Amino acid sequence: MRKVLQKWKLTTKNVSLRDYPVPLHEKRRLREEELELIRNSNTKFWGPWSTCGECLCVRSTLDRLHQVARAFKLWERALIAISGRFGSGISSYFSFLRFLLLLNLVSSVFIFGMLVVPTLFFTKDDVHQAPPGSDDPCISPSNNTESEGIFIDLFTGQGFLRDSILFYGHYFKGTTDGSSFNIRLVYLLVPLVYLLLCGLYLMRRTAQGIATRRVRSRDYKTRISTKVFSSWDFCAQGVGMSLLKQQSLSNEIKSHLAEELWLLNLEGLSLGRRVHIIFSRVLINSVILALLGCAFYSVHLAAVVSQDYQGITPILALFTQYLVPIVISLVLILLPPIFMLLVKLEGHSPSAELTLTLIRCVFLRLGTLGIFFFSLGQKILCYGSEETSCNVCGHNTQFKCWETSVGQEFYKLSVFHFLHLTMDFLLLQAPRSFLVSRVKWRVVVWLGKEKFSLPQNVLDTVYGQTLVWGGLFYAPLLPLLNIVFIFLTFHIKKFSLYRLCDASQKLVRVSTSRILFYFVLLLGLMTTFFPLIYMVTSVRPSRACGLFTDYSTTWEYVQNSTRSAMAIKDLSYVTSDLFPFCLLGIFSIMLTSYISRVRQYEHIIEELKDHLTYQIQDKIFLVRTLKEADDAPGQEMDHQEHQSDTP
Amino acid sequence: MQPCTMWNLCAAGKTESCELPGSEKVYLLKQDCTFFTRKEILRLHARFYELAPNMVPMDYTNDPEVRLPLQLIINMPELVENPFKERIVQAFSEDGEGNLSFNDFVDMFSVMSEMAPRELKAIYAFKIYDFNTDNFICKSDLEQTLNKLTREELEAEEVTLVCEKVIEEADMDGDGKLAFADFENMISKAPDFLSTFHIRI
Repeated sequence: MRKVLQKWKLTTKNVSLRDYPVPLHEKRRLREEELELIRNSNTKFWGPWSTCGECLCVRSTLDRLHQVARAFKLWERALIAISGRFGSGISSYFSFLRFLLLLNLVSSVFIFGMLVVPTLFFTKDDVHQAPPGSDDPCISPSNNTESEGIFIDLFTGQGFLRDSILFYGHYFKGTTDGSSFNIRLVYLLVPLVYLLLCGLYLMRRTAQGIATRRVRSRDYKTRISTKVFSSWDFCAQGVGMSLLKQQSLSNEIKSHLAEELWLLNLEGLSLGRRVHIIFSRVLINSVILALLGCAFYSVHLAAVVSQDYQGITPILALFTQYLVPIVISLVLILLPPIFMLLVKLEGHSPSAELTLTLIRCVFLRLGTLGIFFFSLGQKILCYGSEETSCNVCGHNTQFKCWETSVGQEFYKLSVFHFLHLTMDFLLLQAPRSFLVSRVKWRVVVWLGKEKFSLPQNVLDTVYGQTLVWGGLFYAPLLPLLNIVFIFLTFHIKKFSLYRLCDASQKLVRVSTSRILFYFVLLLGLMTTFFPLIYMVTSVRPSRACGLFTDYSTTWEYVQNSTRSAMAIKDLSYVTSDLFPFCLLGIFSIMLTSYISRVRQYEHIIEELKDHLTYQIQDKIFLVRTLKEADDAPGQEMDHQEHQSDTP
Repeated sequence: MQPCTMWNLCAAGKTESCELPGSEKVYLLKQDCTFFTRKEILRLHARFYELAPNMVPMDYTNDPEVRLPLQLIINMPELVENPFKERIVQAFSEDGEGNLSFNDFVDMFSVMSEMAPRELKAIYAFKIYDFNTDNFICKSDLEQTLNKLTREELEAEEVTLVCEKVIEEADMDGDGKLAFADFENMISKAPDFLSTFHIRI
């Protein structure tokens, strides 16, 4: 036993007693022995600290801290219950919701503490109204739509909300005149730094997830040995759930075998069949591109129409204002099922079908958002059109405070996204499950209850978070709103999972869903981050409201403040044309060296594997030869005895 | 004598100079040998006691040898739905038949908890999946594993095919069965192993 443990200690560093694979009474005995040794060897004050490498004190304190922290985690009990009943794949979706809640909380705390509190404290009453009688067309107040009642204002962001702390227009430069707290710098830098930090963190988690999967499984295909030994979720409890899990596991294994068969068949295809497959793929891809084009064009049209509405009845006005979110939601409801149907005709393997559909859905969602930005930019900042109204002020004079309008659009999108979720729950899922449980028509039975589709739910949540990030600069309190939305989403989804949905037949892997989540979140962040950088550095801020009325771009303020602070003329090299190319060259070299090292290591691993096989075969051969050599003298002796017996 | 707190237990050799109530002595010593805190170990003891109130003592000062039979343990709600419940209990029992003392009981849940490292879990997972306890996972062990996992929904030839594939993927020394080194190598490539191979109690 001592020898086993000594060997164990040599191979693993910092192994504590509880990591030893021996029964508990052995561990206790060993602990007594070690304590005895310590007691006898050194009785000075620093004795115990120097002989036990990591003092037990520190470790048990840290453990205690971990235990306490775990008790305070939000929704911990609920997550445990969900993972027990539905598996760890589905409970990972709910832990993603918790992660998003944390992200939004961090940003709200910063923004609230650094922006809202100073603004509320230092507000002078009418400093931020425009001085009356100014003739500048960019500043004089336009005849904006009046407030249409508090309820409708809540949904459109007009009226009392427009000038509140929710939107950009409320913050003005006079807030902290005379104190050393520079609110402009804070307003500019806090969202940018936050988004940058989020992006770096997400990049790191994505890279970790991909590295784990890539390194651990050598290629992107899951091995069947992994499926056999790590598919069964040992913490699943609940009566009858094991039957369901066993069915889904056998389905998964069957589909794995079917995929292997499909791959084998692929090699034996005739030329005619291959041409047919290529032709159908080209056709279907062009159909899908056409559908995407239609979707984007309809979003663009809706954006144009909604900005041009004139005074009509309030309800119709509300509907027109919400036209863009409605169109986007329709597009997102209709197109993914069509994609799922079309992809079956392309002749891919089953797992490739899923991945392809997912990629297309992600592209659809982010593309609609991008098109919306573009049409907004076209309307407000006159890109690509010949309108002369932008020549005077640098932006469309219809919008005196265009940042607030942009913020309102994001606000409306966010609110509608949440409303869509609630409507879906109330008007689609609940009646469907009610019907299925009460009515026994054939159509209804075939339709069945809603299945909890993890990828679609993840994409939905990521889309909601992307909206919040996009609008962060123009509506600083959007994360606070999103916290409320996420909290309600968690409970709605939990309720629908428990009561309204069928347990899904497909097993979902935690590692796959994690990569999906972080990667798509990162993509969403990048989709909003780069337009924001562009807006901050190249677009003229509105002169009628906000913090940067005197500057030609928002970023100019930072440049002005830092120019006198330190002599950073050298940093101008960073923005010159040559710098990105140099950076690109350096990154390419680094990437090439990493990839070649990876290939070399893979080659070495294969060689070592062969080496190991040969060694074992040599060993077997030697053992066999020895055995034969042992038997041979025995046989000779028998032969001699027999000979001596016979005469 | 002053009562024992965490701080004066840390320094070596101080266990005698502070006063421990008799039944708690055992739990404090166990603290470092498992991944559980004192409160959790006491809770485990309550669960252990519930399984057989007439057999399990409350006072452990004399270190009694009480073993509960297999049938009682596998009816716990955490284990009853698990197809490998008998093998799990047998892997942690000293006699290999599934009779667990309280030490073994705590050990079992400690190794299966989320805090145990991958290497430790791999050792016990190997013991669990080795049905004939010959220190190798051979083809018949794999067939039994598959049948338990899928409740015999797969056809016989599919089962054989899957077993052959698993051995082909994982066996490195070419002897047709998986030794512990092969198993550990394969598990190190499974990203989900740690999250599925744990039992919450």
